[in-house]
Amino acid sequence: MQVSLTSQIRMAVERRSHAAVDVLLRDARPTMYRLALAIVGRPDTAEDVTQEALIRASRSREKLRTVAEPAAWLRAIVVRCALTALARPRFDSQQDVASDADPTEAMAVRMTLERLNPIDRAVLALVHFEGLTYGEIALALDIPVGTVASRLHNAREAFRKEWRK
Amino acid sequence: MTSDPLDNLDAFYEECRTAPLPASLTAGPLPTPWWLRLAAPLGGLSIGGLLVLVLTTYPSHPSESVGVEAARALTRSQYLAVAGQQLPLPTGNHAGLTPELSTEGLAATNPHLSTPWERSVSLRTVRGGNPVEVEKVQFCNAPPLQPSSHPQNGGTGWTA
Repeated sequence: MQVSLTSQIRMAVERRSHAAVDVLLRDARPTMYRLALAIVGRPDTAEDVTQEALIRASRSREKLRTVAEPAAWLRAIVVRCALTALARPRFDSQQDVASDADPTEAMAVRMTLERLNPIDRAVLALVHFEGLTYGEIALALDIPVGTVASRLHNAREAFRKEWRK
Repeated sequence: MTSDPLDNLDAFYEECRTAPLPASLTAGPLPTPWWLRLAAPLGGLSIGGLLVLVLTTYPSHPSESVGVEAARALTRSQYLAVAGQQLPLPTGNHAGLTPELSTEGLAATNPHLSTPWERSVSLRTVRGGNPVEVEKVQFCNAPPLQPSSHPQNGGTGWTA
């Protein structure tokens, strides 16, 4: 059966779009991993989160091709995957994020973060690591913008309180 | 140490920014084997041209969470082998693996996907006499699925 020119063009555009999505997903890996690491604190878990996020993003590549803000869309996926990962019990011990650099301080911060609830950890990472606006945070966490300030305040206070314990 | 604990938090995040990427995430374009990150600590797995990695868990019911999490532990501690149509799980009371967890078989869930790396099958286990989907197994560089091997077509599993 002869393929029409329109179909050929459409297929060519599709191919380019798919290639562009592949490039996007490839280039986004470092950013996704480091955000995941900032939230979950452990490299192995961050790797899991990144892999899971890449799988989800790839399976929704049609949306990724059309979404207005791909970075924000991917960020939201990473955050969701990270929150899911933090909700799971762990079976194995894992390396700390900076065991070679300054194990004492890095571990203290990580252990403090681990005593916070996942949402607090995510909020802190999105503000102090990503430097996002309230609107961007609301998008990433799928919460109303009006609640971001109070969430951030609570997360900061929770961290300070746990740090001093 | 500084007076405001949040300053320590910022230092931690700075370390995250410079943290080395895992080898699995520095590979070339998809679908090059960033999946190998799981194979590497497990000794790698390449049988008959197949790379099989257990990736994610999909609990079918909250009550199965123990079994799901137990199976998840396999991703780090166990070596899964593929031979023909079977995907045998190690037996015994391994770390995180409950003795009653056993492999029932494989069921192709989305063989229609076009690229091999997207193709996945479900690993089902038996808990309480009922099959439970606990893991999604991803095949990298896998040859096409053979429809005749699909359980719904009368087959017993999945063949290359």
